[in-house]
Amino acid sequence: MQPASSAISARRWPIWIAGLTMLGLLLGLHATHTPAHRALQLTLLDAYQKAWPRERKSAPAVIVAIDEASLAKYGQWPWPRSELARLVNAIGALKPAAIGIDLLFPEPDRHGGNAVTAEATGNDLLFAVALRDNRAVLAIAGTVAEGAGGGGNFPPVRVEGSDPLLLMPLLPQFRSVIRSTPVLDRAAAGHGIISADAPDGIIRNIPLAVAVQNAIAPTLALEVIRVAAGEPVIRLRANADGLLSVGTGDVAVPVDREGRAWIHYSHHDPDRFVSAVDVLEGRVDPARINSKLVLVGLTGLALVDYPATPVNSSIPGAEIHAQLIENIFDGDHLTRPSWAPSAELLALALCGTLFVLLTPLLRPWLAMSGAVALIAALAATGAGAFRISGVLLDVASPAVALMLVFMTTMAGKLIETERQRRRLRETLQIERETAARVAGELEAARRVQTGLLPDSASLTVIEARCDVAAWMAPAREVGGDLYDFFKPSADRVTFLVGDVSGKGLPASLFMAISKALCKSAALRSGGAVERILTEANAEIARDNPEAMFVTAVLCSLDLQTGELRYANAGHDAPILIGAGGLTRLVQAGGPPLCMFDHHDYPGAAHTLAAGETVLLYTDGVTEAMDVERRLYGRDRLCAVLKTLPPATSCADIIAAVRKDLQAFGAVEMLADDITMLALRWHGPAAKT
Amino acid sequence: MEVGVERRGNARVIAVKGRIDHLNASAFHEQLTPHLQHCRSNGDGIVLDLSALDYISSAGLRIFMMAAKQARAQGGRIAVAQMQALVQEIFEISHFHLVYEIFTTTDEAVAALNRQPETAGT
Repeated sequence: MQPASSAISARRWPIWIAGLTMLGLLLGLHATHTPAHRALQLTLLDAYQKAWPRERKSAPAVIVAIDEASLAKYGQWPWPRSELARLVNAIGALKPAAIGIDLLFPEPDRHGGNAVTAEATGNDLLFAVALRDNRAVLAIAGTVAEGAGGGGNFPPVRVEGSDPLLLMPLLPQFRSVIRSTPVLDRAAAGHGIISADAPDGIIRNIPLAVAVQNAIAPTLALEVIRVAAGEPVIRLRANADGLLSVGTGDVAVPVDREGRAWIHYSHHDPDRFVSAVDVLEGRVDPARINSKLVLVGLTGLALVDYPATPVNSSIPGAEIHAQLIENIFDGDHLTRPSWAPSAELLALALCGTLFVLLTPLLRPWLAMSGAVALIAALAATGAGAFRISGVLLDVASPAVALMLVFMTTMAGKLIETERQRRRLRETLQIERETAARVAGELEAARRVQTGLLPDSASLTVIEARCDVAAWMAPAREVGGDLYDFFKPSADRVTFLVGDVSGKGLPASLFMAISKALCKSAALRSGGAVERILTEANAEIARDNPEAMFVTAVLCSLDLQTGELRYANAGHDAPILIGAGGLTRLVQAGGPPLCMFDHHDYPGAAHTLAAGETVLLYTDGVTEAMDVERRLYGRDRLCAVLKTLPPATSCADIIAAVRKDLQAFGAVEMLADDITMLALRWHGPAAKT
Repeated sequence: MEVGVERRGNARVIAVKGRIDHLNASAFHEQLTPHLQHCRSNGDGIVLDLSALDYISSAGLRIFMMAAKQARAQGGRIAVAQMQALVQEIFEISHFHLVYEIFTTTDEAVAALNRQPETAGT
């Protein structure tokens, strides 16, 4: 019987469905830029900067810092504008390329003017003159509030490759600006925006161009470069998708489609700074200022909020502009190309599909190794892109998404394995129950077969002239051996032993038919054993598609005379146990029943002496085997029989042989059915 | 149980070695079947060389009987040769000489089968 359990295998489609659903969900999340996704992305990009910060190659910018020392010397902030005019003039005397003032002066100088009327004071005028004379650039802060200062007074902007009106909505939007008083504002040679996005307090990029009302304004660093180069315009290059670069003259800084330049930060470097007090007191080396882009900014710790960068936990604002200038001069740009998000999405889709499809097919450790390798490859790609070309690829969110997909498929695999195990258990239970049922049916069949065989007591109780005993041990629940004894007439007992080729259920069915047909032939033909076998053969052979055959030996004893007539159909010859020893009744044989459709079996006769016993047996006895597959054999059988006293009962004869079979170690005794039948004639006088 | 096959003229000599019992009777039947298909009136005869067959049980005899029946139905000839004493006794008890041509040596069996293939099975 083929066990049904072999048909149960792990299903893959539930794992695939779970994995693909998870992947689809994550792709959706990835495409919609959720805050969590964004935070993850920025964390990775920050990690790249921390791992590989920029090394300073050149020093195009220098910061004149209004630092603690300057404040200590010249008093607290804000300084009188006259003092600032002196500082700008002192810087200008050292011939810088340009000066950018990273400071705002929205009110008139309170040290000598009218703060209420915003009227320009003498100090303001001094500062304005200094700004004009030194071609300084003033900072302007963007604000989203309505009402403050408007646009205008920005350098002209030329847009190439797109319509300015189409680009404007892409840029960071400011409704208004905070700018210095008109007298200062007008005196400046340029105006640059100092606002930058810091959604989580970290400035990663700076918009090189912003939209203020209907004007496009450059960032402070770019405006300083423009003024230094004497270029008339800020130039934006764009395509249909958005901005490509922002620059002036020979300078073109790659930007994202919304005009932001990602800054590759180096560590804070004090070498970028000179103290304002040193400049004012002429202590500074002129080479520090000469031909440099000078940024004037506050660094006095108490005065300003220091923004953070991915590399620095806090940094003066002016240093961010200085670092942007270094990026531009060294050509060390970080870019986040417009194709990057699509590429990341595609990587997730491809790798995710691969994970989902392969995980159910691979062994867990192999799937795990593959996943780790693939995620490592993604990480290496991201790191390589950053180091080699400054391209910012977000591999973190695809990697995390892939881990989630992998965990989902692995969980699905576990659940499916568990389900399979449970099903196997259930199936095993069913199989056991089925086996028990079959065993029950076979047990019933065994009882039926046993019931077919006569009980020796049924004969001996009514017949004192003979003693009979029989024993049959089927190799399985039911067997193909048969024996029978009955009295067809008052003074006759007929008995037989047969062996159907094969064993088990098929043989037992054939055995039942053979026994019934033999008995009916015997009842018809009395003591004519040759006719009984000939007729039985013809009848049994009639329907025999399986080519089974039966060996049998049939005896018929006249209880009055002791005449034993016997006929043999391919069976072992009966053994006669008498006073003079053992004799085999070897005459009178034919082929097994069913070998030929018609065969005339010969018979023979032998007259028993009173007290003689006939033993019939099947080859299950002589061909029983021990562990080393040695045959029990007829010689050993005869040897046992010879040891028995003459008066041994038939039942004891059979018991003795069984005991010897066990002693022989017939482990394969039940490889074949075993049957023995012994009948002793007591003589005519014993008639009841 | 091992089976070796050798062609000699129109006879397929099948040498059976070891024992045939209930454990390997069906395997023996499977190995015999392809040769039996050629055992027909104008085909090959089969000689079963039993010189190395130590023992045959009733399950094995059943295969021998089925083989003989099939060969006879197809008009083919099948013979056994060089039986050991034990196997010969089993054959005698079972009266298999009635269905098998029995020869003392394989050469005799081959010669007999090659001599008169046309009279087989009639």
